[in-house]
Amino acid sequence: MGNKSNNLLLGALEMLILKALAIEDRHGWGIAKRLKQISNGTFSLNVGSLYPALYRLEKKGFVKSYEAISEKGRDARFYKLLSKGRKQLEDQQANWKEFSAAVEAVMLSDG
Amino acid sequence: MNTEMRFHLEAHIEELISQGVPPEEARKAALKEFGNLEFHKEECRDAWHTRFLENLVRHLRLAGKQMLRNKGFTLIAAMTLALGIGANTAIYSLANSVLFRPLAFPDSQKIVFIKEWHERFTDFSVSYLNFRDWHDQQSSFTSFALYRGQGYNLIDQGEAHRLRGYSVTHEYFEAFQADPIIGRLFTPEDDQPSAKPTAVIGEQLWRNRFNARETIIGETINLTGELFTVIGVAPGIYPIDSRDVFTPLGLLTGEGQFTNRGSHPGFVVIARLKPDVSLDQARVDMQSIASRLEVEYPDSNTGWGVYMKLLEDQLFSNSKPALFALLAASSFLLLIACVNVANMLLVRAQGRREEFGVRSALGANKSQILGQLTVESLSLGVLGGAIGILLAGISTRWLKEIFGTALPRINEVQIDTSALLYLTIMSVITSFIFGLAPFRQTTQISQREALSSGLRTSESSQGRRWKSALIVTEFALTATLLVGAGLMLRTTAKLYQSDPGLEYDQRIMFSWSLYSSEYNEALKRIQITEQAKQSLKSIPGVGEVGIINPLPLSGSDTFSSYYVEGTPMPKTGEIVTVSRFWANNDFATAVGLKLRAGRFFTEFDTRESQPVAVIDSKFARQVFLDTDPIGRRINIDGGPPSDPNDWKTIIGVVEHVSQYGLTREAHKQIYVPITQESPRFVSFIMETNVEPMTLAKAIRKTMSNIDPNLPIQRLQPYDSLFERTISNERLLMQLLAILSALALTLAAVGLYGVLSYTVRQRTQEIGIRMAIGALPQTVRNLILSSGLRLAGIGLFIGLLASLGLSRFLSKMLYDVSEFDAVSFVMVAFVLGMVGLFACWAPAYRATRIAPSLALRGE
Repeated sequence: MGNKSNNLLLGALEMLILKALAIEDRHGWGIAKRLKQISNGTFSLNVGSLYPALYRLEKKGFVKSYEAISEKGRDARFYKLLSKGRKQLEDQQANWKEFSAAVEAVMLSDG
Repeated sequence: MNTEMRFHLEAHIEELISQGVPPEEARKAALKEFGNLEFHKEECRDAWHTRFLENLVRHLRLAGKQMLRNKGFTLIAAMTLALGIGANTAIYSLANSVLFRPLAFPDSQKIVFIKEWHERFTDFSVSYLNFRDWHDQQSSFTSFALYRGQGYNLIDQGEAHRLRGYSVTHEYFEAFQADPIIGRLFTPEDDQPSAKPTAVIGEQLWRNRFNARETIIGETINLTGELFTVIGVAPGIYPIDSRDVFTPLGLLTGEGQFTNRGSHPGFVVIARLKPDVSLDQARVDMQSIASRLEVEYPDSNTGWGVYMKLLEDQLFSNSKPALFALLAASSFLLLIACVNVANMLLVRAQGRREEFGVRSALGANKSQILGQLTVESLSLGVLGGAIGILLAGISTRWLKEIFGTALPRINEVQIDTSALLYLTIMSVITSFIFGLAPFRQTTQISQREALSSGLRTSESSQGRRWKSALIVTEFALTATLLVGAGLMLRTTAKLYQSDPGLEYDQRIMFSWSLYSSEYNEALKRIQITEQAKQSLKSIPGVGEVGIINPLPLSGSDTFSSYYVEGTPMPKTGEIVTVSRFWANNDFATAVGLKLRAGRFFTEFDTRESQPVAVIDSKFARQVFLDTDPIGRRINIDGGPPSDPNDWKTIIGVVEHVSQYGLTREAHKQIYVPITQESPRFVSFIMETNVEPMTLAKAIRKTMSNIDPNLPIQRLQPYDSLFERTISNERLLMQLLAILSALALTLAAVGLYGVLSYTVRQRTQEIGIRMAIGALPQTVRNLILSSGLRLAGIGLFIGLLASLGLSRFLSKMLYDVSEFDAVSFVMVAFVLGMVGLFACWAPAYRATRIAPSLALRGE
C-alpha cells in the first residue's frame, strides 16, 4: 500500500477536504472551489484525486453523502462531515501543527 | 457518480463563463483540466470496489484477445483439455446410464431379484412349490412374482419368427409398477390353467412387427401353434424391453415340473418391497420361511436357502468393475490433460512476466492479476469443454456401437443433463487446477525485475521445480494407465490362447426350435433333424454338421441329477447334478471336441440300441477318480431306473467345455445322443471351409425348405459366441489402450515442450559451454539426462502406484497376476522409449546452437 510519503500526502488531502466541510455541507465542486479560494489558488484539486478521496472518506465513515439541490437549482451530491470525521479532523489538525512546526523549525535553522 | 462528475464539469464551465471566457473555450479548458473522464470514473469505482462486473468484462475481453493472439497455443491447449474432458464425459455418460441412473420404474430400488441358494451353486432357479409357499407366507413384499424365459415361434403371414418371451405370474408387471402403453396387463383371472390364453407384447415387437397398430388389442396371434389373444403392450423399458412377448405362467401349472418340489425349472422371483421394509428385513423374513421349508420337506429342501439382491445390483454388478476402472482411467487422462495445459501456461507465463510486470508497475494489484489469470484459464476451460462436448457426443455414439450388447441398458446411454452438468463442473475444476500453476510465478515478479531486460534468460528455480513436478506427475499417471491397459492386454491375450475345450473358428451356427404340435413325437423330431442335417451337409462349403443343446459357450445349462450304478445313494439334501447336453454323432468332430477315452456317438447309437452317454474329463476326474469310467452305467434324473434297460452306459470321455466362458468355472458335463433323447430346441454348428457368413443365405433357404413354420435364429459365426464370453475383458482392454495411448501422447508432448523451452532458456549457457570446448555429445547428454530423469522418476512413482491400484482390476484379470511382471516391464520399456523420443529433438537442437550466436544474444 504505497509508501510513507504518499500516505502523508493522501492524509493531507483528506484533512483538507474534511476542513472544507467543517463549516457547512458542500458538493465536490464546492469543496474544490473552497479549497482553491482559501489557499489563494495554490490547491487546485484534480477531479481524479478529489472524488476518490471523498469516496474513501465516506467508506471510512468520516463523511456522509446525500442528494440535494445545488444553489443553482441542480441535482448534486452533497457531503456532510460526521462526528467521527470531526474527531479525525481535530486529531489530524493537531498532528499537522506539530509536524509543520517541526518542519518549520528545521527549515529555519541554520542547517 | 457519473452525474456528480458531470455536475462538477458543468459548474466549472459556468464559472469560467461567468469570468468572461467564451462558452466553447470554457468547455475546452474545463475538459482539459478535468482530464480523462473515463479514467477518473474508473479510479472512483476502484475506490468503491464495485468494479467486479466491469473487471470481468474487461478480463474477458483481454482473455479473448490473448487467445486470438496465440491461436496455436489456444488451439493446442483447448484440444488437449477437450480430449480429457470429452473422454471423461463419454465414460461418465456410459457409467451413469448403466450404473448410477435408476431403472425407469417407480421406486426401482425397491425391486428385488430372488432365487434359491445352495452352497454349491450360490444362485439357482426356484422350485415352483417353494415359490408358492414363499408367496403365501412372506410379509415383506407388496407383489411377489415368478417368471421364466420362454421362447415362442410367432407364425405371422406364413412366416415364422423366433420370439424371446417370459412366462410370468400376474404380479410380474405390478412388481415393476409398469403401466401398459395400450390395453391392459395380466389379472389373476388370466393367470389360471383354465383361462383363455392371453399375451402381452413388448413395445419393440409392437412397433417393428405390428407397426404400432392399436387395433392389435383383441387380435389373436399364433405362438408356436397356439392362439393367444393380445391384451396389451408392455413398455419398452429395460429390463422389460429385453423381451418380445409375455404370457401367463398360470396357463402351464398343470404340467409335472410344477408339482415336484425338487425340480428347479428355470424360475426366478421378482418382487417389490413394501415401502417400510428394508432388503435386510426382507432377507430375514425369507430365510425363516426357507428354514421352515427345510424342516417340512427335508428330501427336497435340505441345504436350500434364499438368494436375494436388489434388481439393480443383480443386473449391473458384472459391469461395475470395468466401468469403474474406465472412469478412473479417463479421470487420469483428464488430469494429465490439465497438467499438460498447466505446463503450457507456465511456460507462457514466463514469457508474459514482462507483461504482468508492466501491469503491476502501472498499478495493477495482485487480485487484479489473479482475476485476469483466472478468467483466462476459465475461458480456456470453457472452450475446451465446448469442444469436449462434441468429442463426447461422437465417442458416446462410438462406445454404444462397440459395446453392442455387452452392457445392459446401452441403448439408454446419452449425453444428458447430468452428463452436461458433470462436464461443466469438470471444465471449471480443471480450469482452476491448470490456471493456478502459473499464478504464483507471475505475481512474484517485482516490477523492477520485470522491466529490466536481463530477466528473459533466467528462470526462477521455483518455476523450474513446478514444471519438473508436472512432468513427473504426467509420467506417473501415464504409467498407471499403461499398467492397467497392459494387464488387460495380457488378460485378453491369455483368453485367446486358452482352450475353451472346443474350436470356434471357421464355423457357423444357428438355433432351431421344434416347438410345434407336429413334432410332439420324438421320432418325428429325430427324422426332421436328420433330414435337416443331410440337407445342410449338401451345401457347398459346409463340412461336418454338429447338433447340440444347450449351445456350448453360451452360458446356458440344463442341470440334471444323476446316479452312478454301484455307488451309495446320495444322502438327503446332498446335491448331485451334472450339466446335461444332447448331441448328435457328428458333434464332436464338427466342433473339434477332443476325445480323451473311449468313443463318441455313432450312427449305430439309436432308439433301438442300448442307451449310452459320454462324460467330460471333469466328471471323470470328480466322480470316477482314478478308475476307468468306460462301461460304467449311469441314470440321469433320479436314482436307479425302474427299468434296468434304461441304464445308460458310459462309452467315452471328452474334454471339458468352458460353458460360461473362460473366466467362470463350469459344471461337470454329460452328453446323451439326440437319437435316444430328442430335445425340442437344438443348435446347429457347422464346420465351413469358406468365410462362414457367406453361407447364411443358403442355410436360410435350406431350413425354410425343411419346414417354413420352424424359424431359425441366431444365425452367426460361431466364434462370435466365444468373442462374447470375453467381450468385457476385450472391451476394457481396448478402451484402456485408447485412453493410455492418448495419455502417452500428452505426456510425450508435455516433456517435449518443457525440454524445448529449457533448451531455449539455456541457449546462452550452452553456447558458453560449447565455446569453451564442450562436445556436442556432452551437451546432448546433458539435455537428454535432464529430461529422462524426470520421465524416469515419474515412471518409478507410477509403477509403485500401480502396485496398489491394479488391485481394483483384479476381478477383470484372467490368468494374470495383478503384479504381472511382464506388464510392468512392458510399460517401463514403452514409457522409456517414448520419453527418449520426446527428449531427442530438443537435445539434438541443443547441439546445434552456434556459440557465437548464443553469446551475441542480448
